[in-house]
Parts: sequence; C-alpha cells; structure tokens
Amino acid sequence: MEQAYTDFTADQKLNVRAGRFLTPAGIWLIHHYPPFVPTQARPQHIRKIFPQYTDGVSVFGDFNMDTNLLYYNLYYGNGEGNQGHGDGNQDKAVGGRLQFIANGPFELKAGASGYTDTLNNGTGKTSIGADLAFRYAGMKFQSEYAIGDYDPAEGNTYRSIGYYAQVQYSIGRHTIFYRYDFYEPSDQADLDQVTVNTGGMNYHWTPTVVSKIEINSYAHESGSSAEDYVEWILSSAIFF
Amino acid sequence: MFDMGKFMVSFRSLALLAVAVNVSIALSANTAFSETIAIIVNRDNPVESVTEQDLKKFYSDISVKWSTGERVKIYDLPINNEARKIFSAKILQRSPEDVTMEWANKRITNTAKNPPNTLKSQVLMQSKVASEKGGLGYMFADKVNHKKVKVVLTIKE
Repeated sequence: MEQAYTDFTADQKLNVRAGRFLTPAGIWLIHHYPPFVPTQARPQHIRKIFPQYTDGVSVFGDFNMDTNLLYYNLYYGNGEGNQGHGDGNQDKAVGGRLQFIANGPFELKAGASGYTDTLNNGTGKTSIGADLAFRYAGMKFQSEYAIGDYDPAEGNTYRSIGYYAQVQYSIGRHTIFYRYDFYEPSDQADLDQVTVNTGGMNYHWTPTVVSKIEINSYAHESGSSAEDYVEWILSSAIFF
Repeated sequence: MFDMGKFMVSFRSLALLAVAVNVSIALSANTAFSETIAIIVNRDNPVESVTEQDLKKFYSDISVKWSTGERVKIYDLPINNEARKIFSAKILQRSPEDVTMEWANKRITNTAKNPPNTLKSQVLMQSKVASEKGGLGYMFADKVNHKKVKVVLTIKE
C-alpha cells in the first residue's frame, strides 16, 4: 500500500496529515504517476536517498505571496525499514521540505528537502536534497540533486549521491524528452557509479491517456560492456 | 483555335472568386475580434471587479478564497470549448489540455486545494455561478444574462 491517511485542514496555511503518505522530498517522490511523467523508468536515486513513503504525521501548508506561493511540510514518522510493520527502532525519522513557486510569465519551482533517521541496523542516515523546475510555453525543465550520509554503528561513513536533469518539449499532442541521470550508491566503493541517458516521445490521446516510447542507455563506471545495456520501453498509461 | 470569349468569362469568374475570398476573410476576422469573454460571479458576491492576476491565482490553485473570506468555487468548460481556449490562453498562458493534465496530476497526488468543476456548457456555468455564492466562471460576453450573474471583468481575444 502506497498511501492511506487522513487530513485535517484548518486553513490553507495549516493542514495535518496522519497515516502513510509519500515522503514529501523532492519532486519525483510525489509527482511520479505514469500519465503525468514522460518516462516509465524513474531516476535512479529516487526512493533510495529519501524513502518512498513515511508512516507518521505531517504538518503542511502554503503561504500566498501575490501570485507566488511558499509551501512547507514537516513530518515525523517510524522511519525507513519500519514501514507498515511496527517500529523496530525507537528513533523516529524527522524530515521537512520548503518549496517556493513563482507564477510569472513562466512558472518556477525551487525546493529543498531534509531527512534524518536511524536505520534498524543502527546506521545513522541524513539526507538533503534540492530541486528546481520551470515551465515556459511548451517547455518544461526539472532537476533534482540529493545526497545521503550514512554513519554505520561499525565501519566507515559513506555518502550516496544522485541527480538528474530532464527537459521536455510539447508540440500539440506530442512531447519529446531527454534526461541525464547519475547515481553513486557509495563514495567509498569503487566503480559503482551508473549514468543513464534517457530519450523518447509521448503521445497524449487525451490529457489523461498517454502512450510512451523511451530508450534508456545505462553506462557503468566499471566500463564493462557486459554491464552496460540499452532498454526500450513501450507503454500506455490511463488516469480516470 | 483560341476562344477569346471563354477566356474572358473564366477571367471574370476568377476575379469574382478573389472578391469572395476577401470578403470571407474580412468576416472571419471581424467575428474573431468580437469574441469577448466575460468573467462572471454570483450577484450576491460583494466583489465588483477582479484582475487577470486574481484569475490566474484562483485557476492555478494559489488562492482559494475571495477577499471577503468566502471560498471560491471555480468552474471550467470542456477543453474543446472556444471560450475555454481563449480563457486558458489569455489568463493561464497554457493550453486547456495542459491545464487539465495538471489538475489530474494534482488530484491523483492529492495536492489540489480547490480543483474546478468542469461543466458541459456556458448555460450550465451561468446557472451554477448564479446559485453558488462563491461561484466564479467565464463565458462569451454576448451570452451573459445580467439578471442572473455579475460581470467583474471582460477579456478580449
């Protein structure tokens, strides 16, 4: 189960959510549903540096500043590894997000996210991320950068790094897109970086029905041709 | 042998056709120019005017309340409706399809604060705005019944 929660709305500026919710960190963790993103494959670091969902409570809202908006979200939950089946560790996860949305001649969104948790094996984890998106006419740009610092109970600390930049352009019912995606699970490990170049096209039958073709080209730091590969994905997605 | 008479007739026909095309273009341009959109609210709403920026805030989910504190109830027309196309281009600077896609995304991610109700026709929109105190909608200006709703802004295509 991905989401199950109840909301209490006191005001546009103050809402309380309790239950299981998508972790409000970055863009893709929330806005990932197939009819509304150009690719089926998600960027590599998504759901790794920040957890996919959180069981707990969150307080969120937004402040209206003329045509702009400042959104905040603070949450407190069971943490990674304890989702939906109790709380193995007593250390709760805490996170937050701030996002500024400017609605001028073009739409600009800039956000920052943070998260801290102690995993079940005693490893301390702190994640931070930044994201940027803008839209002008038929063009959309979206990018996220995230790092996760791990402090194991035994052994050396290490860092995960992931980022992507995606650009898409829509003409009528067609959308063409390109994404560069990088992920390194650990800066202490050798030859574990993977880059993915993704390109393709969407055809929007209606605003909520889309067919997609995408090509993902995976390149591993090891340079081994046995590891590198290209995948083609053909798909259709419907929202009703 | 070349028939000069037939040639002259054909030439005249061409000239008439050219005049007809010119008239047709002039009429089309005149019709498009007169397509004015009226922004309508409930007659009990004390708000007397709104700006294009106010509309962008309401239809982009940035503001959800009138200055009086009343919640705004926004209405939309189908994506293929001419009034919707003009409204979307002038106020939101986006196509109706793109806007609809964004609202659907907001619905599935439960991030929509005040999504619009899409109504089938301008007549229905007018009657909904007339019966809903916080109602806000748009329609062609020449179709407005001023006894039912209040016009707070007009937008020319």
